[in-house]
Amino acid sequence: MAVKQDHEEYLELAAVYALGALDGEDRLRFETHLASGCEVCRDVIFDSEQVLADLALAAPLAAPPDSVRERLVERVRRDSEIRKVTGSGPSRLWMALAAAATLAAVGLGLYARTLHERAENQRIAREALERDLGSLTETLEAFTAPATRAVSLSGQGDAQGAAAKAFLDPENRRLFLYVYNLPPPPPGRTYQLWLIVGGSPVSMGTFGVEPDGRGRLDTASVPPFEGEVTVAVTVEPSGGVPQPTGAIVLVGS
Amino acid sequence: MASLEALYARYGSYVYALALRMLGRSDEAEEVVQDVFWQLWKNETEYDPTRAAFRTWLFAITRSRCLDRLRRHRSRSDSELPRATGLGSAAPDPEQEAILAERQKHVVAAFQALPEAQRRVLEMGFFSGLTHREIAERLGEPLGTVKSRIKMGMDKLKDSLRSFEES
Repeated sequence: MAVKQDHEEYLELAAVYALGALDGEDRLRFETHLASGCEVCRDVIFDSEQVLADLALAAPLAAPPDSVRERLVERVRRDSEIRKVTGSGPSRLWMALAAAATLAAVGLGLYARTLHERAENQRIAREALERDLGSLTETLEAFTAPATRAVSLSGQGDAQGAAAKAFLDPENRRLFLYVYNLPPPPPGRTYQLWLIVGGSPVSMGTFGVEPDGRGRLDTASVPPFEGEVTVAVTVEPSGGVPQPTGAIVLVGS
Repeated sequence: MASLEALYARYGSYVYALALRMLGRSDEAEEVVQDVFWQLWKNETEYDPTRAAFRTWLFAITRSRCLDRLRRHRSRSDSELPRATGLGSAAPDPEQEAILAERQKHVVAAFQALPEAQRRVLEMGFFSGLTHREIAERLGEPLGTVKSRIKMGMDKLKDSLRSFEES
């Protein structure tokens, strides 16, 4: 009975997850459950996503001003001329899109109601979830690899309340950073992650934070290193800089 | 170019309406419409017609663009929702337009038929891009209640839309 009750809760989490509104511990718990291969929850997510695609239609219908279409057409016309000059044709993907639009014009609306499409959509969603699952598994494997190091970062200066965890997987050159309670950077600035080995900082990339102060960075460009390593986050101009110039907001080793 | 114009004629109003509902500002909604259709043209977002219905994919990237903007500046008041201003450009394919319009009517009716509490949490999650914790905080409700309402609202919509498809 307890198992059934537990799973009822996962079904709730699946609906919130599909809405894109699941965060915090609930999200972590649910993604771990999904990674265990629960087909029922995957189906709930798939069904919910179909409902949500329709929910966009619940917005009060409104027409954009003609100027929006005119600007778009003009922009596309100029781009087409550049393509003619440079000899580049329309992308394969755009041709696929045009083909899809043609299909839609022929009768996609009616076809969409057939069981065949439902089965096909189920297959597509399952493949997408399997890809997500593969990525999640890869992350978990990196976390649990024997050589992986976990580094706790603590907030500095104005970001005293912030904290972060970094997981370094030197064998696969991966680094995963999870940031909490970090305020958004000032306008025109970004956060930049550094790996400091032997006193030399190496940029691991830039990242932003959500309104709730959470941020995440995943990179596969960790340089080879031995011995002690320091991980730090600084505030830098948007786009990042080759060497740190701003204040350190998080640091740990 | 003709294909893009055809897609714009059919879906431009729906993309704009979703952006306006989410962002609450016509100037930002217009920018989202430009961004989304420009992305289609420039092939900056992967679309595989064998993987999802075009409408599903288009609304997903529209919502994603709006969420990016909402996260950058949450300054909009939830109560100041835009008003409908009528249908968009003339449809090049009346049958397709009719099918979409029929579906839109059904979705609106199904959404309005939800109990207020369930509709509210779905609105806050879908259109305002709030997390379940933020929704709970704003409503002053327990987190468990918010999760249950989202699930129940989603189930009711699912049943309602299924009956539409089977009709």
